[in-house]
Amino acid sequence: MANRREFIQAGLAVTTAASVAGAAAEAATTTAAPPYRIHKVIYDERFAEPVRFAKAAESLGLQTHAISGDMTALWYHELDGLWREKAVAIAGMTRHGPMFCLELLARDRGMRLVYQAEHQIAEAEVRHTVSGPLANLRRSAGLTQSGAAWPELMAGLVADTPVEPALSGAVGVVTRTEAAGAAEEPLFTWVIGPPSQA
Amino acid sequence: MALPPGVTAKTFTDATRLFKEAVGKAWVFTTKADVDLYRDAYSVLRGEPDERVASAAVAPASVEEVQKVVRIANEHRIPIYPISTGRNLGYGGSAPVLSGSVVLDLKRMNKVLDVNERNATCLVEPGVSYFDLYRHIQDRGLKLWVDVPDPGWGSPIGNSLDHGGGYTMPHFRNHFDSHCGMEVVLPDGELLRTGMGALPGAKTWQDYKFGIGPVIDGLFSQSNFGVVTKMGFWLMPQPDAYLTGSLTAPNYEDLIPLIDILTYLENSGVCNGMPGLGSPLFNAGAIARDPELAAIRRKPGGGTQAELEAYARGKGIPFWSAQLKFYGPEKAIRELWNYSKEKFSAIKGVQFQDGPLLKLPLTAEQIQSKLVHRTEGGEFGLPEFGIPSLEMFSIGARSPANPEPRWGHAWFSPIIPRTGEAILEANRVFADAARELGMPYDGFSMPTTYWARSFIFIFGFPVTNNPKENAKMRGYFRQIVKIGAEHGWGEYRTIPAMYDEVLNTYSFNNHALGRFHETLKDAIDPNGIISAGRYGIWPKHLRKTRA
Repeated sequence: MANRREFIQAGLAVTTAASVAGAAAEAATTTAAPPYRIHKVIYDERFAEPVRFAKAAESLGLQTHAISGDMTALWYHELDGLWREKAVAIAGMTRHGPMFCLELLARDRGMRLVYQAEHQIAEAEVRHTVSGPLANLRRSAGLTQSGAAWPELMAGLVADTPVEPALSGAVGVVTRTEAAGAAEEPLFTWVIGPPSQA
Repeated sequence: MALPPGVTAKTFTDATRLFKEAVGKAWVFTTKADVDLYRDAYSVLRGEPDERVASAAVAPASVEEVQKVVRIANEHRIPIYPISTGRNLGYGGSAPVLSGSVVLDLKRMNKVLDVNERNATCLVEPGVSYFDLYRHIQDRGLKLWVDVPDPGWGSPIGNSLDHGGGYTMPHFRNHFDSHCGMEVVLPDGELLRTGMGALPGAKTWQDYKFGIGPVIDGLFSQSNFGVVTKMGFWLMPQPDAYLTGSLTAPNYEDLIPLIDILTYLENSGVCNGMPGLGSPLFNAGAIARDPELAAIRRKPGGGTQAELEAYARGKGIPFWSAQLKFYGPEKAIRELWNYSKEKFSAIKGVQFQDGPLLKLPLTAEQIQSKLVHRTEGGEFGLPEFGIPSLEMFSIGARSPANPEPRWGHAWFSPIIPRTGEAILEANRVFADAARELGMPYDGFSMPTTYWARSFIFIFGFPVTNNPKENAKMRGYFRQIVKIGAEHGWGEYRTIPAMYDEVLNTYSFNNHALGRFHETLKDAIDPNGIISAGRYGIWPKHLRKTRA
């Protein structure tokens, strides 16, 4: 099993500058284990990065759902009923609160947070802290080269999250961007789904 | 994995096997990945050796299975820790008080057993959440409201047993007060029903609270004398309309008559919604925006009355505000607001603003609209309409005192008298204490008005992912608990890490209350298997180590 240094070094070998659409498509590479079938991608429409993430997800054929921070209606009117019938995976880019709520609610139906990336947006860089299956961690290394297209890369990544056990621990990756102002709170990209039985 | 204290690996394995026979293999959780899910998401001991963690979890589906599990636990001396939905964030969550306990997860017992629209009552199991009960009522078109806490993902049984509160009328806001009848599995596995439930075939179990003889229901709240498997509640008949009105009072001393008048109106039943109290002058935003005000507030005592009044006069900012709320028929509540205005007019310079009146029930469009979402600048919040919500998790709670709110908080929540004097005194005392201790503190706090006859003075201590910071925070918390008690203000609810400290402040007559709890514990649960340590009630075999 690769350690943290090995897969970061593998990521640094990625030299291709990604276009907006290309970043998403590039990240959506096939892996050994089958990927989660993502029922819906949830995004917080108040922030630019999740909006771009959602657009990229849609270009990959995924259904999206906008929230303005509050996930209550989505869960109450759709996910609660759906999850009582079957455990379907969802993904998203939101602040911590919606992810936290959906994770805990999904646990009641046997699901888990299977992938998480925290994005601390600073003045001229984004610091990502990533945890999840090895394949996702490897592809997260592409964030070092993604520049401003990192939300699009994340869309490709969640679209192809394999049903694999997560590595323990988390890894940090930094994206250099143009100066655009620091965000008050970090954003999170996440996948919630039935845990791997491996 | 942490074994229960005093339990050998063999005994634990034997008990786990028997748990599996009792509830089914799929419902006994012993892997680290599964047991970790019961960690307290807001633990003040996160990542430290003393963090309270379970050894396993068992999820029964019926009362009979609960009885089997309890008997097995008793026979093998395995401490168990019942939880309902495990969402008591800010007050302990789903983690046991005694590390190594087996969590008894009651989420699978999730039936709404009865809802009686005619007399507005219900009977539920512990795994029923507020959302579940709300959905049950809505799906059947019943004209009933549930008083919900905020956030609303907890359970009526769990919330009421921890003395939680809500947002509608006073007799429903106190969730334990609004219960009627319970069923309990005792530590020896016996099944007990309280109130009228003790009469076989009783037709009034959810109608009359007392039954005959001593009313023992309170013994099962904030305690560890049994596992509650059913509980009845009184629900609120859906009102016709909802009206709010607000007022401001200009001067520092106006707080005293303002609270007295409000208290009279509430105790008389005139104002029957949950009032809101505020301070346009002292709110954290105002202090942060104006360096002049911030400088005054940084002084010992938070500035003199003369300094604050001079500032307020100069800026034209009133000291106090209140929002009153009324449920009932439209004509009646308009008159009740008019009457309230007459009473408040005794305060010189008071100004009023009539708020909106909403016909009830709310339409689907209104429920989706910004009107009822405070995060979007709405006038109201959904809990005021008995609608559970998770909206509060989308509110940015970030502040200089709490830079990373995602790690949670621990509530410090003493009860103070229902007077303006008490509000001013509590603020002075705790602000001074915060300054002396070097604690971050965000300015003035207005109390929460859950309860009739008293206030809760509540503020949150931020939890971080830094053990050193959390240790410092726990030190502050202990000091503040002591300072509160020295002034006659006792906590109404607290986090497991502070159970012993808080119970110790209730020390009248050489801790007679604590000693009485222990007498009951020894009689009812001599092997001390249920929720050891909850609210400072320890079984005999663990008591010496807690001294």
